[in-house]
Amino acid sequence: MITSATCRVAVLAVFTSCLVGCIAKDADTHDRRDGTVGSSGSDQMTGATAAMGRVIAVDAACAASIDVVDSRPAQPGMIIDRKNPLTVGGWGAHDPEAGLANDSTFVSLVNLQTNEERIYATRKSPRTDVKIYLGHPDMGDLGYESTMLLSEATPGRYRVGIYVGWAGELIRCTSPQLEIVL
Amino acid sequence: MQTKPSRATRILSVLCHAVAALTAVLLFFPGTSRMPGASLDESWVVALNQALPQGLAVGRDVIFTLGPFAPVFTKTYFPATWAFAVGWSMVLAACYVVMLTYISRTRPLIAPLLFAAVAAFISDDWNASFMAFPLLAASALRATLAMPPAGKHGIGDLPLAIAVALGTSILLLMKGSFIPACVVTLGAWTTIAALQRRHMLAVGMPLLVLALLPILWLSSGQSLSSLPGYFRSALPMISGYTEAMSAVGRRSEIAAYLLVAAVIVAMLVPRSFRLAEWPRWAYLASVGCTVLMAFKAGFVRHDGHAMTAAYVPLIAALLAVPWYLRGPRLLPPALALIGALYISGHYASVKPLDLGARMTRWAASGIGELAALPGSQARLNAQFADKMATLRDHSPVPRGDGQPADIYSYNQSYLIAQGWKWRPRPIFQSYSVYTPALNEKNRDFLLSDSAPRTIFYAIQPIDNRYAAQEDSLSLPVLLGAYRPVRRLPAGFLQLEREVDGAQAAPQLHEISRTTAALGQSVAVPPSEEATFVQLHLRKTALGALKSILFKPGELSLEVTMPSGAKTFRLVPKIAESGFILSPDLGDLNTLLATFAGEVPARARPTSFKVVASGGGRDWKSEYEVTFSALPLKTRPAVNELLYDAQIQPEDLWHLVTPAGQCIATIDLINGAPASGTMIHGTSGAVSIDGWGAVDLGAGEGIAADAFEVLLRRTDGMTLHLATTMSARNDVKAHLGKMEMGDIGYHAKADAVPPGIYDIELYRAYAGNYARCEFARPRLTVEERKR
Repeated sequence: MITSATCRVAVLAVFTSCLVGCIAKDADTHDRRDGTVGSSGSDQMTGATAAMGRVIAVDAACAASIDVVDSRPAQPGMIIDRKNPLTVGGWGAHDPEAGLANDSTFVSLVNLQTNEERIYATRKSPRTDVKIYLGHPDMGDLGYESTMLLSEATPGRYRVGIYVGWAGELIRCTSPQLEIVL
Repeated sequence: MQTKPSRATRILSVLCHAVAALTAVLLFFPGTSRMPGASLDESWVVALNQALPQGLAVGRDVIFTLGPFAPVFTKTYFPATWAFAVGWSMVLAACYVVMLTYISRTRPLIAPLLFAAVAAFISDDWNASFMAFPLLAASALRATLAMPPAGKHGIGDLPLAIAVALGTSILLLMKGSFIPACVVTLGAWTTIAALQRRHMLAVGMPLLVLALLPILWLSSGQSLSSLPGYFRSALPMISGYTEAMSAVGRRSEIAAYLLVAAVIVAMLVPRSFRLAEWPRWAYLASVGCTVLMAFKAGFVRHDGHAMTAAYVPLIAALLAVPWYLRGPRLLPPALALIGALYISGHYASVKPLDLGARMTRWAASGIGELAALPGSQARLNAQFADKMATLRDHSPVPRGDGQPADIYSYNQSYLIAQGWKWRPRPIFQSYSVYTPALNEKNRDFLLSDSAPRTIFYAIQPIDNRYAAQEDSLSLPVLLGAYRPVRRLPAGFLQLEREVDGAQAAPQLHEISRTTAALGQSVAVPPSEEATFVQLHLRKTALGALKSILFKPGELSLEVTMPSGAKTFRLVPKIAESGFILSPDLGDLNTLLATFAGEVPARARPTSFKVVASGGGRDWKSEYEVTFSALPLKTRPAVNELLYDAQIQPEDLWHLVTPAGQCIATIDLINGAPASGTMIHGTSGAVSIDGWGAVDLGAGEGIAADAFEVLLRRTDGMTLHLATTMSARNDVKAHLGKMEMGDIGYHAKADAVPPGIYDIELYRAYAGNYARCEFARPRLTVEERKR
């Protein structure tokens, strides 16, 4: 379970080497007067690429689960056909005892050879079974599911993990994690 | 010679009949506590109650196992149908009281009290209370015809003729499965009355039914021309139900029922076919048909429905007490009571205290609701409005504005609660599309000009059916003529009509035809398209007989997928119409991929087999298989709905930054007032100007340290705009806070790709970020016109 104390002592992390470079600018990010133009997604646009550059995640173990990968029960070492849409689903709670669901969940795939990371949005699902198991049938929806297009991803071993957001805080979950082969 | 009853007996008899009358009223009074809901059953209740005020023709526009008198059966509050339901339910209660009066002429005390006790006992099964009607009618008619006619020209028979005809007419228009027992009872006793020259009954009952049916039909707001269609449509709904909807339950319950039914029938079978015995045969026909219908109603779909099969034999056994020809007369009721307790004990507590509490609660709540009825309309309407608001809150369907729409496969409550104009396919819940005739009706509707432009679709197969078996002929039309435009919560898709007329019809090309045996694996021909299959399975004579009397053994469809085998329930009549076998459309992603024209290999079955899991002797061992190719349209845009957006790491924080204290506005977009949307070419810059602050409260207020402006396209692509702060003294002067820090911002981007963008604004203050929530225009960027 994540507590704010855990979060405070957790290791601050950045996502990409690009961001690491941006950390140097962090000091002037919050009071800067000149923003920068950046782009993301598939379309390119003119202008320098940059981001807010602030430290954005803490590492911590999460009360969460990766249940389904590729429409099958999640198991380490699963071999996934890149040509198919890959679906990853599960559940996560910020505080299961208090019946607090996460605000948001993101699925991450890290190529274990190159450390390249892909992050995907998810859709919420109720997961009433988990709510009942946790003893909070009326809590917010805590299921998540993401369908990813991986046809252009490099084949190899990947680590599937999740990020969760709660009350403005972004947490990179050190567990659950799962290795798969694309 | 019969002795005249004493005054005390007469008073007691009146009191007993009053109790029975009150019980009859409680048995059918719709009550005020049931409000609309969202489950499968609650959705057809909502749909049928919506169909009447909307002017949909039952039997043509909507086809279901219930007819236009469904509101009397559903007992759920709807402002538009409640008066209708209350009125006709009270008429039906009156029919029961009249029939009971004729039955109890020789038992004026015990019969009404028994009726009251049994009514309270069976009150938790609505089917049983309605199915008791033919039994009461037969008993009343038999008792009456056993005595000489009363009054001049047999006028004493008239109230009974009216009650039987009125009740029969109500039930005929209420539920398809009530039709056989009502028709058999009416036919049998009309014949007996004619043989006995009791013209008031022989002529009165059938003539009254013929006269009342159109009157009742019109009273439900239906057009007279659609009445024949209702009875025509009832046939496939009844005949197809057995194979499609059956479910296996405890065999001991069936054994208990059969024992009770056998004893009742054995003690009623006349000794000969002589004319004098015909009333006995007529009575046996009424009882036999009703008890058989209760058997099918209870055990074909063997779950809580079994209560019907528990209660109806009990009613039959009690009513038949004066007419048993052999054996101890109290044996059938005693056995029936034990059987009813045994069967119903599997679904509810039958401990004496619990039973007593349930019956008392039923009576008390019914009386309470009746007493509170005067002036309750406003309160009920408010409760109804609250319930509809709750449905809206939980609805995966977005708010509608009166535009026509339909929903697959069964959540009509959401669609109606959200203000869409419900334009249903005839068989409006997909699991009920279980015969070729019904399947074709729904397909033809989709191909017609009446089909709605908007459809909400969710994969919701029941009973572990193969997903594409639900509305199996409509699915190819949906794949070709509609395109998904929105992915909604709870697995729903919003589909919009893409093509009309002949273009909408699916183009199936036969690939191969073969004969296979049950249990034999059949290879699915490899194809880049979807594969449609028709299986022509035929019952044996034994299977056909079992279909009529009970149900044939179930069939399973074992499908071999690249990841392994899966087993599904196979509905033979749906398989005869045909269904999409490949891909397996059991999950939304595969359905979206199929809409996109890119079927994933993992969703393609390699082979299948049909297995007679429940009764190999009920089905002929060989069957014909026809494979056809169903070409798929290529729609790359659908992939935007299929795949979740890939997010750049630097964008994550925006997605988790919550709304916080912030006051902000957008004044200008590209120098023009920011109202509505705006359009410009791709090479043009976008600029956004406005002002904002953390707080404008007491004192000088709190200015933000910085603002961040983002454009987020609907596919998830995000653009950060270069943002600078400015003083905006005009605003500060207007606010009277000239000492505040800079509150203006100016954001710009050199080139923005085409798309629809949400504008997001974030403020930084003292090291914290917050998203500014306020009404913002959407930005539409179009390709530059050359």
